[in-house]
Amino acid sequence: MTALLELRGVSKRFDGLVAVNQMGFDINKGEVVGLLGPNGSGKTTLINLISGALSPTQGSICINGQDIAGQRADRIAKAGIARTFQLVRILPSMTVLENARVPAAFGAKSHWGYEIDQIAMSCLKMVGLEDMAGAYPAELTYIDQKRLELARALAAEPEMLLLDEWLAGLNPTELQMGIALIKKLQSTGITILLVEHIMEAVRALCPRCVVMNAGALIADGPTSEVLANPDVIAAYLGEGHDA
Amino acid sequence: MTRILLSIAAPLIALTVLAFAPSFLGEYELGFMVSLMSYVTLATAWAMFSGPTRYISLATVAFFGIGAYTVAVFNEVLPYPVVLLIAVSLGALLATFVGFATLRLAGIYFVIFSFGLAELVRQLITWFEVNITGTLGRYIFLPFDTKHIYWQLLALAAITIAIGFWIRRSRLGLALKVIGDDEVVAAHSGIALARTKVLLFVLSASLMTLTGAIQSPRWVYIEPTIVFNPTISFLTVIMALLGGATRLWGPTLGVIPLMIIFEWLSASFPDHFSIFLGALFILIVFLLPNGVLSEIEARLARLKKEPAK
Repeated sequence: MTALLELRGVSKRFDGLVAVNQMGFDINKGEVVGLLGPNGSGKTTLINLISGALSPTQGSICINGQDIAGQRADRIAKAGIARTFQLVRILPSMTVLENARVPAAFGAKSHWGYEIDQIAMSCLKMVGLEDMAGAYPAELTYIDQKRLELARALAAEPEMLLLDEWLAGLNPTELQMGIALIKKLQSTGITILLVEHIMEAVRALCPRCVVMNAGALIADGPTSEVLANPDVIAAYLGEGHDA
Repeated sequence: MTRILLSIAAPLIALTVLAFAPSFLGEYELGFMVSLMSYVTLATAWAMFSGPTRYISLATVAFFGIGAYTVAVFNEVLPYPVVLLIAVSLGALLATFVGFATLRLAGIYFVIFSFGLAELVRQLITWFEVNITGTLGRYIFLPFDTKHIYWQLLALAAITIAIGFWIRRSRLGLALKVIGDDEVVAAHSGIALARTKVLLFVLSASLMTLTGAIQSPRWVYIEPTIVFNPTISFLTVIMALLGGATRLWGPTLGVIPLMIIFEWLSASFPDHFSIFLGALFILIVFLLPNGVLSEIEARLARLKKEPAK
């Protein structure tokens, strides 16, 4: 099986600070991979590098063999990568349905006319927002705004979905709903890379995890093995702790 | 269906009536209609770009003046359609250059830059005329009556509104709306930010340039202080904002009452005109930040909700 996403020696330097240091891993089609690491370890920066919000100082990022490192965000979106944001970003002047229509119109397949509404509506159905299609974002609850952001990412019909702490800030009931929703996505065969702090969600959703610390890769493998890895425990709890 | 029919039929009827205006209006009234059509085009073209993106541009007069000056320079040596073509090309060229150079500027920086641009163009032309050609003013002799200029401007206004109508239904319109809401989301949804913004800026600027070119024979004698008068930029902004810069017919609805008020003010209080203009500007921004059309819609929506309580 060939990899959908390949990272090789990806680094990002902000003046003296190396936020991402020689990261390299592959993600195969249909995989759901967790991206873990303590605060400030470079997870969101890495997501920004893949999605084109930032351009890497070094290294290559390939999707389907095509190098997209350093390209503009709109080109990367058209290459089949969609994302959500750590802090929810909804288009305030547009209705829920209109929000979801945007990537359907400008994403990888550039639909127009009737097809856009069809795709947008089916993505709203997928996340359970179809009844709110005509509402404005200000009327939505927090989890519904998160759902909308997910529906909007899906409306791009991406091959690769990047979720940046999509489950953060939800209450325990909402968290269960969120986990179930991502499980449902998984069954459609979409490839997902998710940044997450909630271990319960990581164990439930990700068979494999990649762990970063201080910008570098410290572990990559099956979730249970990675979480038992002494380096990972040291990264989270500091040196000198026993697992 | 009736709504769509109405939104196409009503403007067509209005256009037909307006086309016959010269046969029942006097010279003074027709002169007023020329200014009216000129501002309808300027304000609609301004709102085409600034409405959805919220980049407040004070460069309107830079393009308007370039159009007028191009006609002044070439009207005696080249056929009229060629002169118009040169004017549009120059306006579009400047807009492309300015667009790529400045649309990364956000908010207040863009406002200041656009104002500075208009002044820069005016000073450059003044310098050139004084030092190179040796004459500051120029004459425009074209065989046009007021009605000929009126018809051209009416056609341009109709075309501008038609373009606005079309953009709203196109991918370009959707892209602009998203950019206005959140540029980061726009880029990550696959919208090419710079290209979209520059395209619209150039389109808007081209229409402004044409307005200046077509209106210029009205003056007969022009110099930079006349055709690069910054008041034109301010009036355009205030008119578009009064009507509502995000609506197709907003700018037009803002132009009509303000033109009537300005006409009356400049005739009755010529010395205090600027004071009234400033006061009006402040009032509109405070009381109707989203324009008259949005305000009316919001009130109608409230009225509809109240009986349900």
